[in-house]
Amino acid sequence: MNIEKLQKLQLIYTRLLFDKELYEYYLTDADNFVRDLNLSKNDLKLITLNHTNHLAEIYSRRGMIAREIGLRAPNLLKALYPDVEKPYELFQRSSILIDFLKSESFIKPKWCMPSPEYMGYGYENYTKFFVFTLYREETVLPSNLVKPLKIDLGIFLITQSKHSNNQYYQKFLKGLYWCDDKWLYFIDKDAMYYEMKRDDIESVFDNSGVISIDHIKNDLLTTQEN
Amino acid sequence: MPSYTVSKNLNRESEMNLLNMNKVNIGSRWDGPEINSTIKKAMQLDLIDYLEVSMPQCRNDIPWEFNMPVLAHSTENPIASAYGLNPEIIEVVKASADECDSPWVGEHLCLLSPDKSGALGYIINPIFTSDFMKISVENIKKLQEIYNRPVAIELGPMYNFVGDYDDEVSFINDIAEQANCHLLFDISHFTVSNRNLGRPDDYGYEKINWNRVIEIHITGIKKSNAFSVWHDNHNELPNDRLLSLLEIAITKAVNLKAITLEVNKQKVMSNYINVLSDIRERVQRGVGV
Repeated sequence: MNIEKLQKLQLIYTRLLFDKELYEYYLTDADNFVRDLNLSKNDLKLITLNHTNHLAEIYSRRGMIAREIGLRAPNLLKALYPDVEKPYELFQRSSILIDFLKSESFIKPKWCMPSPEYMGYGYENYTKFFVFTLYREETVLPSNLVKPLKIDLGIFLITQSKHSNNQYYQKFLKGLYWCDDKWLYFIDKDAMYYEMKRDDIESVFDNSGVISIDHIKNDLLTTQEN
Repeated sequence: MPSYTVSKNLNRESEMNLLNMNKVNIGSRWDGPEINSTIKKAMQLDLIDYLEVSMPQCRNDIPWEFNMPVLAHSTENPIASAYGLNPEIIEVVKASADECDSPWVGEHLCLLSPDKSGALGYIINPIFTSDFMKISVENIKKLQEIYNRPVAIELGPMYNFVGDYDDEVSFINDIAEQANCHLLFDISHFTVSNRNLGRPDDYGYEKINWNRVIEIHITGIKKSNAFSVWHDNHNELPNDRLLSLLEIAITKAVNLKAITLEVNKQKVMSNYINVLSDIRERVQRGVGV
């Protein structure tokens, strides 16, 4: 098998561990699965899976990722599950997480922030998740989840500006903000969160060194171009 | 093929903080200061010889305060990946291994993602075919050359066997032989894989190339609440069954230099010392020291 074929087999095998829809397709319609993905029947034999064990592996991998993201997104979990003490089980089965795990944003290290640990891109899943939910056009995020997610992202960025060795996060050192039609939302350098009327305050931020949280969208485009 | 020997790093200027290569050392995985008080106690009782530290995650936090040898272990090089290795990660792991003067570097025989960079959470087992075996050999040779020290490869816990090899033991044996590297035998991963694949707990013990096993890992295991599968579990200590399997492994692995206990949950630390002591006794029985 040439290297391109091996890479393709690795890609499909990996996606089967996370993409519920693809796995259901593999299970229920092997002939079309093989044809659509341009595989041979022999290729399919190489990635034959025991159904029960595979479900267990999908379940435990998804659980680990739900916890990894949930720890960085407590406000999102609170918005999704207001009265649940341990929301990870529910988050693990949520459509938002399932959609993320089948997306290119999850599989490829292209739409994420640089690792706070100086190890390149894609060695964690939470910045991929923030970008997927807030800045990818393919994602349709319920409007009530935007604010909690941006608060979680903002607190993450402020924290990294203080603790990460990666220069990328330094620009958030003085705080960050975002707006909607009426309101301006601000997280200060100590990760304290404020809401203010936009008309009263937006001009104050112009020369303050406080940066718009949505600035990271431009960074992502630059990363893609490079 | 040259005869197999356990390599020693002879370029060190000081013998301080170096692993004693003339005995089976017992060590602890170190993920952070949570277990420091237990480590100190184990040192006072002379039950621990080294710490094993994951790179690159802990590269800035190497616990030098214990004045003990440090073994470098890496989880971020996808040795079995058709997409290749990330030079940035290799560079960081090499620098860390150099700093620790680690006699070898533990590496997972795994995939991490379908890309050269990135990891999708926990390690992913290889596709066990001859093509991926050859890729693994080339990647290990590259790492050993860059690190300028041997690599010891470890398999993760398995839920499925994917590929056309007889089993993962033949696969890892072939790789170790062709790359001329060490093996890191994880008792808990092997037991989990054997149970998940419907095999006896000691499946593979007659087949693995024990001459190449330089290090053993052991930790707890648990049965899934939701499915009838087993997982390894760093929050628990190894049970009696795992310790008895460890004793078998000790008698077979004639070039064994290190046994690493991988537990990082403070709540089980009260019994940690007893398990270290138990392992010490089994080593003494197994190698006749």
